[in-house]
Amino acid sequence: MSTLPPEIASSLPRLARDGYRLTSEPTPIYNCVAHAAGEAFRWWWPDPMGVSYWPDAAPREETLAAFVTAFETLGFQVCEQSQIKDVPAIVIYADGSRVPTHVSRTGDAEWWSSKLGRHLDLDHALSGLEGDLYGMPMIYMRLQESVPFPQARPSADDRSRG
Amino acid sequence: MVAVLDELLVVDDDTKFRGSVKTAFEGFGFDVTAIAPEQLEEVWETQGVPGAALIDLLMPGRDGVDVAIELRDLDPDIVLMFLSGQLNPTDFEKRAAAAGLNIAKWFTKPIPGSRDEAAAFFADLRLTIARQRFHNLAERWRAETALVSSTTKAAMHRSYQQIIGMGASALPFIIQELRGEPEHWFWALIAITGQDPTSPEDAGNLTAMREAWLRWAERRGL
Repeated sequence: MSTLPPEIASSLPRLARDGYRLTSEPTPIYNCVAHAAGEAFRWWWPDPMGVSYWPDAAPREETLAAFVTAFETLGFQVCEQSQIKDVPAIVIYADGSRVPTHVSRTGDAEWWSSKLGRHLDLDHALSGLEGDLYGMPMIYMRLQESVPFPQARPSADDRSRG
Repeated sequence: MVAVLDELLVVDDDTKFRGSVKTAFEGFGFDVTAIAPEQLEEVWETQGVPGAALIDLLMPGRDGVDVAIELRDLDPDIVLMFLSGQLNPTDFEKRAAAAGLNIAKWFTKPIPGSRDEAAAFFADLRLTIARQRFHNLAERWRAETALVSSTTKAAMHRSYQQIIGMGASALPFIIQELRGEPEHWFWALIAITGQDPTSPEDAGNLTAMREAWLRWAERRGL
């Protein structure tokens, strides 16, 4: 296990307790939402200025409903946490005001996979990101069986699009 | 109206020099608060201090480095500059470095007397303040939003908003940063310029957006 950068360890103290694997170098090119959507060439967010990518079909607003709609465009559907075992899935974190803060996707085995803002990618336990920074997991979505799971890692095609 | 970037704190123990500095600087558009070092706490408590300080290095009692450390502790983002009659203040440089002070520039007394020389001096001073202020704010923004995915939250960060508040004076530094590497400066660029040369289909694609803004800057000679 590579050492957790101190700025991550202090902001997400549960990572060290619950385990993690660092899986990329830091980059500002894509964020957690893009990573969960299987992209690594652009930044997803429903910002009002329109500088970040957001699916046309989803409202450009920072609400759980807008995030659910965005992932529905990729073939995900809302489910219970108990329904995601062995199924490609994502989880949307939100703060105490239910404003979305982060999205993780299922990774290898029991791990979840996340891109942390402009920082790096890592695998982690679901509880590892809970806390002041990202709040709590709020909504789980599983991929419908007929839809292929977006790639978990940047593809050569993604990199060339950058 | 005086822009925030033109507000300057001058700390010098010499009453006459403070008066002449205030007159000279205000003649070139600066809004100067000129104080003796022992007035620092009082001024801080009653009115705060500007975002930039020009400090005399050689003063009895607390010297310029001591004052700079105190100012930095009061406001970590303050732009610190020294004014010295000494051409080679090596010992002070070592102390400043040891204290972790980021000194934007070391100016040498006396302040130029002729109009042309003074104009060049003040243009340099203004550029130094803007460059260092941008650098300080950008570093803080990067550090405090590194783990944030929300474009909105990152753009609403105090330091990012202060960069936007710098207005056109921040543009050369933002463009310089973008020439080095992609970064999330687009919200600030749109807010400052009122323009957006990127294509809607490139939203979120930092590489494409960066190229569009660099072409925009090149057309304007930035």
